[in-house]
Amino acid sequence: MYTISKTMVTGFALGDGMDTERQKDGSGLPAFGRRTFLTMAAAAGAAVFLASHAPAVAAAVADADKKILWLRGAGCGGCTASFLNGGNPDILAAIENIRIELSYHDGLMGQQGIFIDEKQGNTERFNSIARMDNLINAGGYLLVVEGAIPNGPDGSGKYGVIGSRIRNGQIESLTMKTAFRDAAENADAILAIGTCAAFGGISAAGGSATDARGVAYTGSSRFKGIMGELGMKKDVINVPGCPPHPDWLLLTIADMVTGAPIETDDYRRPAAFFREAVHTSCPRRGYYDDARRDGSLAEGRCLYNLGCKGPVAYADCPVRRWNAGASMCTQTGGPCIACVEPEFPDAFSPFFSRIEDRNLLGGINIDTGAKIILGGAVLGAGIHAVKRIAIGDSDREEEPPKEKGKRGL
Amino acid sequence: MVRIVIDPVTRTTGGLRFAAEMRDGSVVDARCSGTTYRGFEQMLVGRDPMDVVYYTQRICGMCSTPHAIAAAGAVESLCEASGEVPKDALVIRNILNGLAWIRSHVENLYLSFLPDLADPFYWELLKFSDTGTALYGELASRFNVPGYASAVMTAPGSAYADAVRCVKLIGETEAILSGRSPHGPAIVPGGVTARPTASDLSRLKSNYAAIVDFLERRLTAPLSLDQWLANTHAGTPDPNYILDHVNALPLKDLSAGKGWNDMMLFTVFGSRMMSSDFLALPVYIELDTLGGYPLLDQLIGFLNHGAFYRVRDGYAPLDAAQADAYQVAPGFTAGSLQNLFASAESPDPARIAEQVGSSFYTYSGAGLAVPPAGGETIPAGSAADIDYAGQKYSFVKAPRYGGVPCEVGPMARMINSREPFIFNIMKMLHDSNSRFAAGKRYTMTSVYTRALSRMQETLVVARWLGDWINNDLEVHDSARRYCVPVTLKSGRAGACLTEAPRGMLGHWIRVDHNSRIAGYQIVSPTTWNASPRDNETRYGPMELSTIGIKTTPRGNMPGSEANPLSLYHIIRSFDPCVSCAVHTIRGK
Ligand code: SF4
Ligand code: SF4
Repeated sequence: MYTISKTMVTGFALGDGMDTERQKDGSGLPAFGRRTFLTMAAAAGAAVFLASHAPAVAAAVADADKKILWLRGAGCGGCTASFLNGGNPDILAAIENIRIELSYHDGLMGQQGIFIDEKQGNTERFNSIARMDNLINAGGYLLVVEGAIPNGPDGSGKYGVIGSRIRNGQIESLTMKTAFRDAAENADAILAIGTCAAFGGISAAGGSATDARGVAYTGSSRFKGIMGELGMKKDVINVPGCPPHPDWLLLTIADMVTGAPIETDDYRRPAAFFREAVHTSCPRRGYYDDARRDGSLAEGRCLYNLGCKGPVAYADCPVRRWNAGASMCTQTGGPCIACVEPEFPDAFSPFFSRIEDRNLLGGINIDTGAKIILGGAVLGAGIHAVKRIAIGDSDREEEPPKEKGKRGL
Repeated sequence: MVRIVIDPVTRTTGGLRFAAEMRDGSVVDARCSGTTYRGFEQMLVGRDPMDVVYYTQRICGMCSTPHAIAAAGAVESLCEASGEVPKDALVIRNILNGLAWIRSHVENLYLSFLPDLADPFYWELLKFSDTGTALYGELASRFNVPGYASAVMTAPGSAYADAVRCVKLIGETEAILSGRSPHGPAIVPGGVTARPTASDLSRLKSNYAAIVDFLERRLTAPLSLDQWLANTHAGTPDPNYILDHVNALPLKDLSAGKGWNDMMLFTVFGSRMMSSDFLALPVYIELDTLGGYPLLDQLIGFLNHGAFYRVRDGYAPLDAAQADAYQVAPGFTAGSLQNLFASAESPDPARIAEQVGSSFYTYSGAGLAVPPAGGETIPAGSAADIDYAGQKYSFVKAPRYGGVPCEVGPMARMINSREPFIFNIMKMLHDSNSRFAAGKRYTMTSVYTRALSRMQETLVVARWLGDWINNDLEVHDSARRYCVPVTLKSGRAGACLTEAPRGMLGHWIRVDHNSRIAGYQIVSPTTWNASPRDNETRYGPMELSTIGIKTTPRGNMPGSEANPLSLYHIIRSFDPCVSCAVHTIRGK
């Protein structure tokens, strides 16, 4: 069966229950210490949580003062766009609350890489590559990876170049693969954000021509991540989503900078966000249970027959909602495409084909009379089996790698 | 000879490298490279055409909506359904697209382009006078990037922080109709999935008011959006308006509360003509001498397609000849700008072809310039072939219009629509050249006019957005339709040309006899602007616009090769988006 594995980012022991200790100052606010913001805040949402608990968070992370080195590989920039949608009133305030310093992010930083003939121009005050080098040399940062890491052609990584650098007196291309290797080596912790960095995602779909990889995984295979390719063993937390919700990012970052333990599932996703199927709390669930399922788009009822993958996608979108609670995919009539799952997108497309037509249920026809009467119960009983079929079987994680059949259905 | 390489060019979507050769203090050669290859081609071939919207959205997290509109349009054209898409769906697409344009422009201005004006270099330049000191204080306190050490502060500038909040607000507004932002699923072939409720509508209206509030505070105050557009844009505005307006601003106090909103601050101090020639101020950053072109018809053109649907049922996906088919009319103007007093030509999409003479691709056939609707592209297959100093030096291709490289984006649209405010400024620049000593000149197209075009267009689109939200969008009822079923036709082709915030965007699709995708091709705005040389070694627009410039707008200052602000200004004024440009979604 599907189990939650407890993973620790750092050497801290798992905290005890969050409500067993109160702050000594009599404020009644929970003390944070090494307890996880994430578990406590999961229900509230990062925006609300960080606003109402800012002093406590600040106290907990007072000596953390973590720098973030954020690398971007092959992707669309949507993860950064989603990150900018976070916080209350804005992401700048949230960063302030968590006390982190976004030291390197090529989409947001003031500096740029500058080279004059075969020399590096300027210092880290102006030069982004100098800044990256200094960060890596100093170590002790949180490495955030956005986008997949191209391995091609022929393992050179040159399909993904993110800058230049000087080596042996000459200017040369810095590939994402090399930058990741160097930065991961000295990182305190690694966070892969978005489905591309976590699992390869869109960038690795359909036997990608660039041989793009996730950080620790490609698809559901732990052996095909870029770390496997590089022979590295480091713990990685995955916050997938295409793009990921900003709350998922902020709360996970908040926990990681304090070194709090993060409970994760088999794919190293924080369990607090990726435990329940989208279908479980979908705003259109009532229509599903009443068997009122739309046959064409924009009719306003359950999207199951239009190909909704909510029953096999595990994320708290319906409870959390997106963009400060504005809406979410199925609420607006778009089928869930399971954008958080390791085998996204291949296992879930054609997006407008029903789950059983994708053979995800192993022959169970959930549209039978019994199913309709029992509503979600039957599906619920089979859900873990379904999930394994959909996202891949991770029981064999510790076995030597072997070629798995393509799960693209 | 000195070679300056900027790699990475930051504050873009990444994957951009720019190299300039300097001789005697001037740029004599330039190379603009996209440094990532994303290889979507195998990905789309063989897939269900209905899926292209959700796939191609994910080419770009900033232009997700324009890609969705173009992809849905390509499938609708394939299915001969373009004429059937219901009006209510087109209104919703317009609203989502309008929001995407405003967000994209705000992000470029405040998170990418304007921060370079807070660079410590300008403190050294401006600190010698009271006005200069005051000006730098305003630039830094408004535009500084957090963590970047401008001469006076490291905190985020006030305008930067304001823009970050606005961007978030726009995301929330999009999500009301699209489910989430970015990559909401609401746009589908045949229409949209959203059916707005009364509460959606009231949230949209109040969010819209807050967005306008931001734009007025930053760009038009003390005037309202409507007042500003009435004075500069609508009908035939008084060409002297802008001079009268800036003349009335107090020079002792450059604070926003005294009428020095961001647009006025930029209009006056981003231009030598405005501040020195007209206001006799010794303080300016001469962006009106930077980033233009040698205005020759064969070297450059300005191109755009139609954008934003008319509020009625159905639309014409490729029918550029139909002048009133779109809110933004398609247009082409040749580089000399000779015909600026006549209207723009109507462009013919059949004249678009892509070349790969300097790109890391080869064509398998004999063709050297291949129209997007057909052809095959093979990427460089070995690491040794990927050399940015070689004859081929970019993963971006070189699209050309009738063989001519074209700038696309807000300035091209403003030129082609002869937008009065920009037209008037360009005319002033042209007429002011006599004031310059021989050898120097203002250029009608420049970093200055490019950025002003983006500001003005933001305001114009915001005005339209108000119409769509407040007048055209209605609460869902049983009589309204949002989506028509589309029937896939096998063995056919379809296409959709439209405009993204950064410029012309085209999607072309071909399906096989099993109604699966046989070929898909996209030409995105940055493919035009950031293109490398073509087969005939003509520069791409960004490259061409740097030829002849010095390292800073003031000339070559000591040590300025190590902080070449002129290049930053020019590159970021184009708002390059390399994620879009290196998608290379092309089937066999
Ligand atoms: S099938 Fe999809 S739309 Fe229907 S209830 Fe489940 S998640 Fe919601
Ligand atoms: S509802 Fe589904 S597709 Fe939408 S964000 Fe959540 S997991 Fe992704």
